[in-house]
Amino acid sequence: MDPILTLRGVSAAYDGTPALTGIDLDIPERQITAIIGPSGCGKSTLLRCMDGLLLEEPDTSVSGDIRLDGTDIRSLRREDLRRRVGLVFQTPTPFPFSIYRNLTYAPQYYGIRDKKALDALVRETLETVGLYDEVKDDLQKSARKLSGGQQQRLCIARALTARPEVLLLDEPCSALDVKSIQVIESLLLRLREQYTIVIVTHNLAQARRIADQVVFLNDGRLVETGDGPSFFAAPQQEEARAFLSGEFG
Amino acid sequence: MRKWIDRIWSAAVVLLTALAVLALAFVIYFIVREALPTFREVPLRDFLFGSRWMPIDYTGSTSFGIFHFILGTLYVSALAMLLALAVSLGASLFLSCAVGARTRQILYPFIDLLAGIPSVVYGFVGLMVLVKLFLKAGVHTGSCVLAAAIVLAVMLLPYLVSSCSETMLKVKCRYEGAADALGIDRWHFAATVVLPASFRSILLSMILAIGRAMGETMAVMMVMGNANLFPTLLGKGETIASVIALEMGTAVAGSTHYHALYAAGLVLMLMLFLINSAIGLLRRRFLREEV
Repeated sequence: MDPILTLRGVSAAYDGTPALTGIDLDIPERQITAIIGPSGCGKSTLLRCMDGLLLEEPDTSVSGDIRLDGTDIRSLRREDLRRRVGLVFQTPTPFPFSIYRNLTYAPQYYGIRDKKALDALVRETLETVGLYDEVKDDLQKSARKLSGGQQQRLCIARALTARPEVLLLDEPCSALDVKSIQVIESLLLRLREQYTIVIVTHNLAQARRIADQVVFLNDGRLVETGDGPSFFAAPQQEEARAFLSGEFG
Repeated sequence: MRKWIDRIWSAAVVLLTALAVLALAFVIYFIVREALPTFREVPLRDFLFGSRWMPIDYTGSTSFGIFHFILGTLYVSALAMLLALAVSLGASLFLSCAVGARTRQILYPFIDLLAGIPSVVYGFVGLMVLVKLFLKAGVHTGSCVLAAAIVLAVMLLPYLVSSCSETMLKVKCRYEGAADALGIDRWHFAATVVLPASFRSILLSMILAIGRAMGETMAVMMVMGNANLFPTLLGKGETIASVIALEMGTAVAGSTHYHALYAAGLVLMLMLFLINSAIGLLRRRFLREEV
């Protein structure tokens, strides 16, 4: 299968301090790639390279080649790139609007005005994230009144309203309770059929449960990549073995 | 020992709080007590809705009607508020959403500085610059409600900008990433997320500002012309605060004139109280329906 995202020799630095060095990575289409590694190893930085957010930040330099479906992301228009690559943050940040408006915000911005089309899109994305039955009767309710897990699913739904090809998630479960984590994990496994998913997680058990491909970073270097089961069963590198056995992290 | 220190400490805090509350209570009591005798001689309706203010009987009968002063106060405050609100919303959005932290740190002190300029200086500048400009533009004598509103608007700016931009900055930091990840343009984000989400604190800052606006005496007095006329945009007008400031010194203590000025002060206080409660109610409604 052709990779949808390819990174070649990607390095990044904040204020001259290197955060990533020489990353070569392929993200396979319609699979879940989990990025793991100790805190401060550059997981989130790597994720933010993939949708170009990092390229826009001041005092940050990014070098190397990042391609989405073969096209250099630097040559894409900012909003096209953002529509094709969605990003969900660690803390759920629904806009201070109603549930409905949260989901129509981006589509309206991108020119969908037809009420019926918007209604259908809201329903479809809510169904995808399994939130529709829970909120269908009060779509006009403030999104901030939802529980943390529901808010995070709403944020995933909001990212999906832009119809992305790739969905990036930055530790989406770290602020949630066990039950919500389960719901989100099974959601991600379902989403894999339609979307390419890249998730940063510090929860090794989570990576083990859902990852098709695992990427292990340490100190801004890519140490090892492998498919999920075999990586966890038998990591090749000493560093990865030490990390998995809990010697550092 | 420790216990005693705690006790003294809490007693001191209670005492100081009581002092503050008492001070307010005395002010209200004093104003009400001095105001009430007015209504033995002037019916309340004539006082509020009469438009003839003739406190001394040069020409026969005295008359105490503050209708024009009430209107003048409301007119100049509302107009100033409108002008200040438009400018400060723009400035706050600019400060919170358009510039970086470094520029913000340079610009903030300038706005805070506006709050530190004495009002007589504002009045003086208004008189020397604005009134002259209005004169040149063909307004008789130059002094007018609009000139006063402009001067007042500048005085209100720091109050509005500092609290609005603070909230807007918080809102922006919180939702910026989410909007950015959706590819939303910065200005669209500012207009559709930051502005509505800051609505409540905009109302709060309006409470602060309207109090300042309606009570402001010196600067307004210097440029508004102080004539007991029905206030029009380019005509002279007089506010309650100005009447009190101008006439209190010459009013004979204990005369109806003296009491009427206190009554005017009471009316001003009640107006302010009503407006503040209205904005407060509005704000609470938005708190409940916050979406």
